[in-house]
Amino acid sequence: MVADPHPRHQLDEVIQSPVRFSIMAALSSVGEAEFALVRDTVEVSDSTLSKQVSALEDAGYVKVRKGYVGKRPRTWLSLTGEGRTRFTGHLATLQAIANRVVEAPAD
Amino acid sequence: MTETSPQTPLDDATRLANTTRRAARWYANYLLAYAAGTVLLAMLIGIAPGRLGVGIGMICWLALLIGLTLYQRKQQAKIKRFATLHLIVIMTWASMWVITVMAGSYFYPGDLSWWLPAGIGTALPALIGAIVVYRATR
Repeated sequence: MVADPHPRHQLDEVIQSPVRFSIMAALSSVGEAEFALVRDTVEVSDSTLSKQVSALEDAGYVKVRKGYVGKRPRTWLSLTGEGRTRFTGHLATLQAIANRVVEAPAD
Repeated sequence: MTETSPQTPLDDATRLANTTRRAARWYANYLLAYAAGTVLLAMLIGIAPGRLGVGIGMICWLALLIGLTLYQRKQQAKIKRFATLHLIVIMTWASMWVITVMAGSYFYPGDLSWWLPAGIGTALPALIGAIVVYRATR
């Protein structure tokens, strides 16, 4: 048993992917964001975003809502309560790792 | 710090969150326009009591609501707890507006010294809402 395990063990594997991390970050500050805004903010293609959002939806971290504005279909993305909690925890873990790097600089 | 530093994703997260947060700021403008429209409508009714003032006021109000609806439809992000905040603002506004119009029409018809401060008072829920949104999206 390790007395003080490295905080990296607490990182969320679903969010560790850079694109999924970016999607979660983009959604973390709003209640809801349109698919196109997230795509442009994260700088990925439609298909990449769709694929990664599906993975986050399957994990229960992101909610997808489809609707229409006039005749134009629009897709809205938001973090679930679980997703928000997991992302906050993931950021806290990253911060803990960053603090360790500062405390113990390489020779 | 190198590219692989754990600080890098934290900085990225802040940058991405700020981008979408700013996209949700439109609702502050929406509420400011709503507040300004409320004051204008109250003044119109105050300056020209009766059918003329109410008629012109209603046309202006309808135009404002159509404009705001079109503006809202173009937006790509909503602040957290948008529905709750919107409901609180609109319900508070509606309650105050009913009191303002009923009291003003009965006791102060054509009296701008009532309608102007009453209009400003009625606009307060939207103004406060705009400040809340602006602070939340800074």
